[in-house]
Amino acid sequence: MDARSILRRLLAIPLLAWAVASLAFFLMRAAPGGPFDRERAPASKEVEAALKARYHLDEPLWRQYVRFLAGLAHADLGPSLKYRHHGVNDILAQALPVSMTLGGLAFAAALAIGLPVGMAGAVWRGRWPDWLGALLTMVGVCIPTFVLAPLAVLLFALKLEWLPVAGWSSPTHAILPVLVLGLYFGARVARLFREGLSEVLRSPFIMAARAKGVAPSAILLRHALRPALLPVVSYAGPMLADLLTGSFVVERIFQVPGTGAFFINSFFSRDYPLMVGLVIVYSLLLLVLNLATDMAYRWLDPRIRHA
Amino acid sequence: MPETHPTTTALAWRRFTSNLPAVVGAAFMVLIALVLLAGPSLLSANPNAHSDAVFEPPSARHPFGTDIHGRDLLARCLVGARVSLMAGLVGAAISVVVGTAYGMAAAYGGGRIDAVMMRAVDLLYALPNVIFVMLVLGTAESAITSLLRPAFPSIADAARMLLLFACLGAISWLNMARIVRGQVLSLRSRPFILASRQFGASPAFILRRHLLPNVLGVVMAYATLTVPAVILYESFLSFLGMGIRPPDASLGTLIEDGARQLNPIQVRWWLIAFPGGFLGLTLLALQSLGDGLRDALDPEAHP
Repeated sequence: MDARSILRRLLAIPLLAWAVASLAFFLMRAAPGGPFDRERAPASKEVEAALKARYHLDEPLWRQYVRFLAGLAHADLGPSLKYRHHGVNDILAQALPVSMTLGGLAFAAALAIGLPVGMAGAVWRGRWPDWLGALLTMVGVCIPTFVLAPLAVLLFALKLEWLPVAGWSSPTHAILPVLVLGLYFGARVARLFREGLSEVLRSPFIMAARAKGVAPSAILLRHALRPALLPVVSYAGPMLADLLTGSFVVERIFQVPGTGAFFINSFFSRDYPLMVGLVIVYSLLLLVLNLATDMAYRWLDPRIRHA
Repeated sequence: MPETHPTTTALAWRRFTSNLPAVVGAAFMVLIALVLLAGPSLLSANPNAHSDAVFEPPSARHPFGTDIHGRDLLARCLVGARVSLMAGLVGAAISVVVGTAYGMAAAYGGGRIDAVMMRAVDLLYALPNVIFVMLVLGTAESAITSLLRPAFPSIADAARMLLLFACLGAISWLNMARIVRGQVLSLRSRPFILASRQFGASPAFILRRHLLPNVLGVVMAYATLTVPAVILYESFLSFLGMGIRPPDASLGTLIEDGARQLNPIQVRWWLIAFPGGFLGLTLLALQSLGDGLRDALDPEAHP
């Protein structure tokens, strides 16, 4: 990927994020009800009107939008309408690192599980390690996290009492959520890596290396690994974005104070600024990681680089 | 003696039947379909009947045990699986129709049309789709409650469920559009298309007669893989309390009910293990079936 197209993609990121944020801004306000409705925040008519005026919700839509854009220009996402003494920036500054820690650890776990299992499957293709790996990964792919997580809690926390049930106060609290998330994504990584590696191992340049008498370990590590990583890399970008912004289900079951709960609650409480702020963070991460994926792809595959 | 060449279809069939997991998956799905069509009416237990026998572990009378209201979990699993499978089928059907039409239009339009249409897909990818479903469901739900419920209370629930299925389809067509576009792009400049155009065939004719039949195999294969994806998505939404509403059940809501009963005092494993196992097995079978179909119908594809 040459410098110019990287620059162009980089410049497009704020534009796309702005488009997504605007879409979320207007869609949120099109949804029925408001943050200070009787059912959400019981109060008298006067209090409701005063609250609306305080947060400029009584202004015409276009003025609210201009206000929102002006805030964005200062990297200020505005006040939260539900947690009224906190700005959206503060809430994100607290919840995002938690989600990112959990997501980053789970990403590492997914690679640590997926790459060796996938490699074993490709190297011993059709023999018992391959069958075992295929069985394990198929199970990992097909058992969703919201089934795996409660079962893991049942077994390791309630029955065996090895690990805490839920919470986020010590490193041992992280073990179960990280493993559950890591296993789920690791199974996908293993399938992709096995497929990619066995494909490469069948290709003529590997046969040539073998005929030349290169040691099998050198063939695997020096020649086959890099091209075989391609499918994994193209999956890893979106996966990392998903993981970093918090897995709703795992955060909920293990009561991890990340962004997952805010995503859902901010919709139900019509907390417009919080919701839009989360959407912006999510789409920025996704766009940046997509670009990083493409760049890694080109670095790994010289045919694309020189095309 | 004339030499016979196997047709493309025969070759695909041979590839499919020599794939053991795919055949087992297909057999399992046929079995599940039969059970779900006949099962709930054969069972004596009513899935919504409350009883005093709450939280009973699995027994001969209640093979899957009972839940917090003393309802028979086996009956509820069957009814829930029906809803989940229906969601998968309807969602996949919508994603096939929309994705195929969109992908073909983008690829055949080419140039600027293609660029604009595919940028729109990229934009939708960057929007978290949970939010999309929440917004559409939230907006439409109040319309349903205010308009439909007073007049036709029985239709209102069905309408909401159908809307949920439509939303699920609406977020799963993006991949299909990309795959179909790629296929059409590679077909578009093949000699037989150029010849057809040379003979004066209209774009509509070429799309319908030449391109559509050629992408159908791939579409079929990926549609089978969309079904488990949509089922998973539906259970995920229902688990978070945004999908199917009680007293209706899907496998997702049943698992959520079970997860809520997690406590250190009494372990009620059957509430999660049975609906979770049911969901896992169904997804496993559909995934194997879809993988087999893809390998059979689209042998050049690599996942």
